[in-house]
Amino acid sequence: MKINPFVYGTVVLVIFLGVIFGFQGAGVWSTSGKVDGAGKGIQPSAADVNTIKGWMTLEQVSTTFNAPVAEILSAFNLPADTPPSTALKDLESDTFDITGLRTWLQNRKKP
Amino acid sequence: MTSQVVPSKVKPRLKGLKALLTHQTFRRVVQLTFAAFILYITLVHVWAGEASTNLTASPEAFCPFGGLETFYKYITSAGTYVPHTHLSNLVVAAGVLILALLMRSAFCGWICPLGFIQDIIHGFSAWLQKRFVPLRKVLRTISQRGQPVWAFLDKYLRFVKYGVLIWAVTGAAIYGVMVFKDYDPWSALINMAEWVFTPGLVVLGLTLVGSLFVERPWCRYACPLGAASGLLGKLSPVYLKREADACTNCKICTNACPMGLNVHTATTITSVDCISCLECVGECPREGALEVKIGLPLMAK
Repeated sequence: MKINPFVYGTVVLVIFLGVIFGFQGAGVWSTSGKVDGAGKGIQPSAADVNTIKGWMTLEQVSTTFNAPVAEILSAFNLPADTPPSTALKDLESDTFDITGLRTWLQNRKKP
Repeated sequence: MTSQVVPSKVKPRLKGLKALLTHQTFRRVVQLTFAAFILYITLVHVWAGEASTNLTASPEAFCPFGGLETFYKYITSAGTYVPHTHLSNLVVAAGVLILALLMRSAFCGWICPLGFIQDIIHGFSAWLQKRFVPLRKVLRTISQRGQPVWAFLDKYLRFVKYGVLIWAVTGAAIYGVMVFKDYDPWSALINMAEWVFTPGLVVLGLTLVGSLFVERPWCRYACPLGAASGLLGKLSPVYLKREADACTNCKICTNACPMGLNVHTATTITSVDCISCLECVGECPREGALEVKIGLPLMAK
């Protein structure tokens, strides 16, 4: 069966946007680590290192996980004068990433 | 009894507004709209910043390839994601893959903003060559002389994207980070405001400069999303059909193909590299020689 190219383009848009709006309508959508799928704010929790997100600051992580900022900076070879208000995502480098920080905090908790 | 081949009619030449109301214009409008949306998201995010009380989505949140990279972690780590990805990445990835399953790699040809940027640059190059005859002659000479070498390289470079796909997806699954991010030209483009040098900037530069000489170099050789979409598109019921009886082998379709496929020699175009842009269909001067068809998956003849 032949398809008109205009119809083809329209169907492409309907399918692609239909899937996205369908998921959005079902509440399965979040574009930020600051909120979950239901739009509820995400906060770091000492019980779960996976709650650490890139937008969180060094200070937030330090307070939540009871790890001094200086110790975090030293563990990842980051400059000692890094402001505690720096977002984690802005610190990403060869020596520091969020997955690494999660692992380090997880291991640090262990006796 | 001998069968008589009926020569196909030449398509009527469209004039004025009708010449603009083609599916090719429709495609450009769709591409422009999606590119403008991403530009808007990027500017708002840069302007508002991370510290803003208003929630602004990062353009990274709309990248479908991020969805493929985070999928393994999402299903194996209780709904968590690799850094820089969100639920939206998984949803957009689902949109791209479902689209591929039904309509082949239409995302690449109709929606992808990086593909659109490459199209614009190649269009600019074609415009320059039209205006400056010496430039056209130089490029044509280089192209003719390098043809055998280029044809050889083109054939094998097209496999690179499958390697990139395997590396990026398995790397993210094993290490829990996007190993491809620093090499990704799209990531480099949307994060340009951060002024951080990454190898992705070099890849972006090569892609943009390469687009002056080759159409869609990133899509042809290295795009992992296009690789995934193309492979899944093999199961799609949609395909392009060339009617040999109606075709005059003028090669206009082949010359129009941004992915460099030999359309004029194929019976059905079901290549994994076809981005379903339908430029070949639009450019074909013969009625019924090249059409979009729907049939049983994997049964196109």
